[in-house]
Amino acid sequence: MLGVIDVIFLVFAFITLYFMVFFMLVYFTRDKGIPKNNFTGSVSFIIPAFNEEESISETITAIKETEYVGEKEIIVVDDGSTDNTAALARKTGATVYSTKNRGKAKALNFALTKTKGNFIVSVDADSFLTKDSLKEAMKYFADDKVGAVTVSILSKEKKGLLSRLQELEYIMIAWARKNLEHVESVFVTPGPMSIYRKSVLTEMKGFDEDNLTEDIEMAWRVLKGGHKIRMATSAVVYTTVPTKFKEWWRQRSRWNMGGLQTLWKHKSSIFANPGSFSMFVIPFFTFSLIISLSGLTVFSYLIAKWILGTSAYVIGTAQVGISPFTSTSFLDLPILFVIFGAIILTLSIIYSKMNFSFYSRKFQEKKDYLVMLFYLALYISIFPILLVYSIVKLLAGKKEW
Amino acid sequence: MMNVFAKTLIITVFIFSLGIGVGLWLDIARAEVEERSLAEISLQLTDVVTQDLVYDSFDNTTAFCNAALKSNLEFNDRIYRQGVELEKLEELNKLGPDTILQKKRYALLQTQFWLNAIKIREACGFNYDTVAYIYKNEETPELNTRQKIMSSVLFELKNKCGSKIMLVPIPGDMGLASIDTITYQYDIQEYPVVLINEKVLLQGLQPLDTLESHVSC
Repeated sequence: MLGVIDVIFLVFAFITLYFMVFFMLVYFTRDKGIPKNNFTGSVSFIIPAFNEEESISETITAIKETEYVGEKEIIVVDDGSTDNTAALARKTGATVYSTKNRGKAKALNFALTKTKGNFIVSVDADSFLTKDSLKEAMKYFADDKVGAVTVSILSKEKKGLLSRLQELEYIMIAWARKNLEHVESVFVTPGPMSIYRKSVLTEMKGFDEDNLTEDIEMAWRVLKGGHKIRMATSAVVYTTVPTKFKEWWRQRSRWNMGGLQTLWKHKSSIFANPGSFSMFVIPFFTFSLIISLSGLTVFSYLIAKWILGTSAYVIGTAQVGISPFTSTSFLDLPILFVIFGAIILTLSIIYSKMNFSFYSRKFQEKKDYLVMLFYLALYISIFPILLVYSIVKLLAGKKEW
Repeated sequence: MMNVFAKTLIITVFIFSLGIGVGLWLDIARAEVEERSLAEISLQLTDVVTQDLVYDSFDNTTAFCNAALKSNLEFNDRIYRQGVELEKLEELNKLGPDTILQKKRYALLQTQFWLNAIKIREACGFNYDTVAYIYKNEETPELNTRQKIMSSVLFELKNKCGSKIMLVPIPGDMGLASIDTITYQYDIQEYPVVLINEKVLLQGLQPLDTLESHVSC
């Protein structure tokens, strides 16, 4: 008969299925009206940089080489670097302002005061535009209601397990963002490259300087302000991803803490009005948190129960003089679990392959399947643990980068 | 926008119901296989008991006793496996019918077999030992571990002694009058219990050595 754990499993299975179906349905029924005509306006690139001498030149060069007929200016805010960032940026042709180290959001806000363009492109100092990135993304601004445009951020590194996992993850994130666009719910304008109408940034009074993920927070306010955010999938930007677990953990805990800060800041907007921000973005975020934390709780309970039970069994068998391997027990799974596990795994594989094919990246090697299985089975399982770590860190007031 | 969410809900409910439906169908199918198996065992026990009646009425030869021993051993093996299957079914069956009635039938079959094994032993002068293992069906996690350990000890004992012992696991708390009489008779308060040759009552966890000292294998 169904126990509490079984019911929780079924609820999780239902929710997982719901979101998978949701994204697939949105994708297949989407309005394919991607803007075709170029749109031109004066553009100001703003690049906050802190000790980025390894990549800053390449970042600026890529911006200079991106095809665009309108005016471009490149502003680098050297946020108290102790290396050659400023000199290299200047040498590559950017206008450089040096300030003492105050954090990314403050650097962005400072840069904003120096811009002349009507459109502001925030770019991370370790991210690289392609030839079409700007041109493709700018097309969306032909619609006056569009306040910001995001692009496909893909991983630059493809070697090593962690990089390959992130490659898959970034593709999935980009694809999900495109789907969220169709329900007016793009909830992040990522740091590697996002374009804003300057008037919108002025209306928002700049980036939130207390938030660890000013890009998420800004996107929420843009949506809340009734502006549209579009996702230009054909505009691709490559970004540097962490190649060491420690760096990855640090980056992700910062993302989580920033997300939590943003949620807390905008909590009163939940269901406050009929727009997608109130009715979908905040509930979706909140719901994800609850699911993640309750999933971790149930999983921890089951693991603890198994460890305690097995330990007691092993100790007991030693006391009665038999081998702990003498057991008539079994490891079969209930059919119900197998069925829903198989459905979710199958949909996940289809979903991942759809993501990859969207970016013309085919599953060619056995390695791709292994990476995907690793991603589905282990990588995403780390996120709830990371979330708890981030909550504890945030509550302890450790809001460092 | 609401349209997409509503459509998603309909499709999800459909897939989910399909999953539940297939799960239910497979659980019922598995329970039916178990039910059929239990019916076959019941028939086999009736055959064994009828064989005794034949012995009582017509025959008392050594050939008969050997045939009866063979039947009892075969039955012992089969019902043991059936017990393991039933435990498995109870654990895995999430949507199918309740297994409580099957467990009750199983408990009664085991009890009948136990009594029959005692009878044959006396009638034919066999020297095998009957080892009745009385456990609790409704268990706490702690009792579950203790009973699992005791099952493993008895499994080891059966492996060592083979046909020299008749191992009879019986759930003692099924609300069945015949089994309640036994638990009352032996004043069983604590589970699990091992009753060897209806004389030696061992309560709680027992080391393999202790059990071996009470049986002749």
